[in-house]
Amino acid sequence: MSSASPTPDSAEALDRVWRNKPGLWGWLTAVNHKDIGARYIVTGLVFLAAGGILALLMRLQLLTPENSFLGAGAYNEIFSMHGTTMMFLFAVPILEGLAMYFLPLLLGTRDLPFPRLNAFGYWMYLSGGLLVYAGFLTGSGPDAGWFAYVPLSGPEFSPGQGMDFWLLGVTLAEIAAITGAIELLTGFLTRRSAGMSLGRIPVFGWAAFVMSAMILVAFPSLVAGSVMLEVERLFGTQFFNPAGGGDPLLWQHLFWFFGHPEVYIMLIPATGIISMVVPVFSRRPLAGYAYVVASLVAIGLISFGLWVHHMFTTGLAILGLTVFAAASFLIVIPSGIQVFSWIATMWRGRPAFRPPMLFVLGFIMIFVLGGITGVMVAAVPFDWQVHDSYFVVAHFHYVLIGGVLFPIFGGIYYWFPKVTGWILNEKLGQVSFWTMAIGFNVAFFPQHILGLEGMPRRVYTYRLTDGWELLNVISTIGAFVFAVGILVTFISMALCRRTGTRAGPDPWRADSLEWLADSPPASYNFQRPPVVGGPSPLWSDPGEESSALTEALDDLRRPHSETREVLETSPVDGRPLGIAYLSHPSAWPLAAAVSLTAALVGVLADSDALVVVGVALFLFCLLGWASGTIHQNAPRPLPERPIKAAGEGASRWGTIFVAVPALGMLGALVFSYLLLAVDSPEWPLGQAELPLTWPALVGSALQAGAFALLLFARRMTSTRATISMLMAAVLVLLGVAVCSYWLSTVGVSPVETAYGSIVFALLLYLAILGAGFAAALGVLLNVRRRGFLPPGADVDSGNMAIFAGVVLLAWIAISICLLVAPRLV
Amino acid sequence: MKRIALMASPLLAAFVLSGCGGVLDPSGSGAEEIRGLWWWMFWLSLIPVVIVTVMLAVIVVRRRRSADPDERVSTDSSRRDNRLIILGGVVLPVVILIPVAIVAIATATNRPQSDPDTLEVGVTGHQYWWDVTYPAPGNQRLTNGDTFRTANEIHVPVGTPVEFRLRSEDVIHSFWVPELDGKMDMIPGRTNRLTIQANEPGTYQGICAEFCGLSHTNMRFLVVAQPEEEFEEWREEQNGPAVDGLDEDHLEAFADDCGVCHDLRGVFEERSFRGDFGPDLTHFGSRRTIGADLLPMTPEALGRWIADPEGVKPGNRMPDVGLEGDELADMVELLEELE
Repeated sequence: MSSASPTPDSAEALDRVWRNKPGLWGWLTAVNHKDIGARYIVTGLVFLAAGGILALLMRLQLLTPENSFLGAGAYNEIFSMHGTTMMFLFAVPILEGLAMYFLPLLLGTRDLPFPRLNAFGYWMYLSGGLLVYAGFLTGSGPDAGWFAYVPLSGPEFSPGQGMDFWLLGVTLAEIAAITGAIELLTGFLTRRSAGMSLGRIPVFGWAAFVMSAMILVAFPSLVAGSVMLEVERLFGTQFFNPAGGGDPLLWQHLFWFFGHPEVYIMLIPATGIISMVVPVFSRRPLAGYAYVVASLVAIGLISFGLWVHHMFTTGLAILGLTVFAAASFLIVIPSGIQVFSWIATMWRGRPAFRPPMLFVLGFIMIFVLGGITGVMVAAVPFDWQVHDSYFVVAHFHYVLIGGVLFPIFGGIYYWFPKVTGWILNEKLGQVSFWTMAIGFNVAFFPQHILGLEGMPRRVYTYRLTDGWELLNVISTIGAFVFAVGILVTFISMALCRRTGTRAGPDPWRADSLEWLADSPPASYNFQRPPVVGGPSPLWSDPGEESSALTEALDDLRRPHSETREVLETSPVDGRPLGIAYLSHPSAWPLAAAVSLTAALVGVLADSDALVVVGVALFLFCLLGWASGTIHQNAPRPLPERPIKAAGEGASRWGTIFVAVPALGMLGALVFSYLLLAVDSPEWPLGQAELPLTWPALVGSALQAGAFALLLFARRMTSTRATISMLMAAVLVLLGVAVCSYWLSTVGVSPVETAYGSIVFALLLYLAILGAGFAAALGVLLNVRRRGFLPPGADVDSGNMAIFAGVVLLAWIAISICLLVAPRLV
Repeated sequence: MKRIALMASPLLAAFVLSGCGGVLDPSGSGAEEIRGLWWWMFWLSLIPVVIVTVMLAVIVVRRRRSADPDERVSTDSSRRDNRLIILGGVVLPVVILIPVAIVAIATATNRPQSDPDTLEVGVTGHQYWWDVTYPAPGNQRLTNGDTFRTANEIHVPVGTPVEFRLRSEDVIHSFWVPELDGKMDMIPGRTNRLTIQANEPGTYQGICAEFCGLSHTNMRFLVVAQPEEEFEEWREEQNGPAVDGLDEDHLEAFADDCGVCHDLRGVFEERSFRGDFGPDLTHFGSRRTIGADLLPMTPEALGRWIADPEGVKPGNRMPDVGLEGDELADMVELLEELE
């Protein structure tokens, strides 16, 4: 890389702009991707330790037959919390955290595009995790499993508050994951170094992209399901209750439409780490880069066709099951391609088996075995036998520990020097790896056999006559050995200053841009944003720089008017488009997260006052947050800068990525309506009359009008665009009024039949969507009133047109559901 | 190399241990088919395991590590790389998955099938026991004609298919007898069907396979497979009323303490409190176990169960009715007499 030696005084000036405010206040208001990413990682590791301790307690209980160490109640709470912790509070957050920390460094930029959203996401995750554990520690832990199947998790069979803590806490963590995904996707598309085309993005960057896209599509389904279940518990709706025409399988569909992709949401970034480590330690670029990237995308797509393979024993028609089995088989191919790409890289490279590489080897072996048992359980008749047996427990621990935890540990050994400036002790790394590898296999291999011998999952004990004792003893011993191995790495990290060695910027002589930054990186990452000429920038020649680009990049070496500046690039070829501004530290994200949490605690404590205050404060925070950032975030034309003004990239993509989960929720609700309708002997239930027709037509027309106004406003002058937006806002609000009237005339009760419940859910969602959209328009109009107007093409109305399109789609889809679908069923 | 030995030894262990009970030691047609599928998949899966293991071993053993940390390998081998990736990542999985898919489909279609003359048995899951309904003797289907109830012990004739109609009264349960066949969920609001054929006489362990609450672990049952005539004899007995000559005082106590939930057919016909909330106890004494295969059918166990149901089986719905001393002994005696 050709980078001129940094001039200290400008580095100091840059740091002044980019560093946090001093003290505790600075910590609370931090928004930098490295701070937030590191917090996700550290919090994730704490939850790993908590979930691990729960696992050891379970293994102790299962050590001997008829053991009374824990008892049924405690055991059920502990296995529910173990699964919840590992899936929701450890794996996804730590992987998103790694991506948040490293994606900007890998791409050669200074921060992610929406730093405050990032901070908000972290606080939501933290309070979600604390909420779930608060329920557990105050003695009302959830005990219906991490999958929370209804009716067991419903109001009748889990009357305690444990499930409420669980549902609300998990929903917060899910929303955090969604905000992180929006951030990572937008950063991936718009904030790269000059010359970093799609084909030059490091595999971990691609993995972060695919993971985030999957989160965006999969998580809304669970959010919708969780909200429906919580409403069922609080108000007695009938979505899942067969007595009211509901369907327990609806929950399983919503849960596994999220839950199966979830496995790959964890696996994809984990394999992304492997694809970073293998080339560096094999001293050559990754074999078949294009195949690997295509495989990641393929896995992301196929994984949405698999969810029913968790429901092979529910009595669904065999033909349907076969389709899902075939999709499950199909996913072996992109997985196999990746495995052989790593093998090919090592085969023709000169691999050095430092600790990160040891974890790679362990990962490949265990992952292959887990993949093979995965094919076995995808073979429908075999699944009839081993489903919900210890064979499945063994299978998914091979996939999740071998396939996710080992790569995370490999990533820790690989990236720890970058984050802290210390290389972890080599010997401790080897000890930790071998202890973990041996302990893991001893713990989990016997569980395959236990499953084949008929031991079901989620049992708190077994009998001497079952003959399962020996294998359980072996498994428990292995679990403790495995835990020791993890502990060694934790100790090694804690004592890195005593046992490790100092790292320079590039201790591994690696090929990607994060190794260009200091270890630990400066607050602004790169003083002069790098230019990229190939897929392994540190191993190949730098890219061509036009004189204008040189001037712009040199210009970025110094701060201008105390703003945080980054290069904005085009999504496909990484062409520099201009300079964009990022927001500064702020307390609004923390305040918003705290007030939302307060509202949820109000729900749990049955305190209407707290709910009202919390929601009001939350809306106030959003308002304060929005009005403070918009002018900072809006890219402006910069005549003094040599390249043309930054485009609308980040805000446009951000808008699209917010629209996706809104559509996902709509999709989940429409799916629920159709499933309930198809499975019912009569529809609408209880001879209810269909809703009125005219509100559907009037509402859709109003919304279509708003959509058209905003579309045209894109090409208008700012003043006219403002007037169009105002008119659009009025139309949307009229639409909300029509929707409310519609709701008040449907003539069914939301708590008597599942039909009433789902009709209310659809119309309430429509009203909330419309009101939220009107509020967004209001915020923008308020900003404009204060004189901040976008230059050139009206970016705001273009973005708002996207939201208007989403609300219009919702009007049409819901109208079809309510008025057309019943006549077809 | 240590690592490879480590990987191989559990596979051997699996092979050796696989003879003992459960899925791999079947006595029913469905389970036998599935065992065939398992071994087919097991042997095929050794191919990729061996290939990957050998390649990784070669990579580790060759020790091509360079002394110069900055050295890099030239990358003009991309065609050879791609060939390996396609062979290993596409060709190998396809070659293995096609036979797996074929055998899996064959296994699914070779299951025992039912026809309109197949014996139907209704099983309804409750937290945490199994309510079992049979058509009265002479009849094969549940829907036309008389039926009778029993609980937690299912008798089936050997060598002929039996169609189970699986339902649930509360939460989701799953009906699983590993030695006979795969499992099927019992979902409230639905009726799932599962046809099972036992091929050898014997007693088989059944167990609830879907987590259903506090005592999910303690929700077991027995399947007793008998020759046709023996089975029909059993059905005749079970269909009849409770034995004659029971002590009137004991029956009075039963009516007061147990009759709200439990039925004794032929004894309480005239009374209003005849219960069907709990298991039918008409021929309770003929069963092998109590509490959904939780305890053996002995006076001591029965006494313990009645005196402290919650202690024996956490979360179950049977209240402690406060029987002690002689009252308890009388109740145990009565129940044991209900052959």
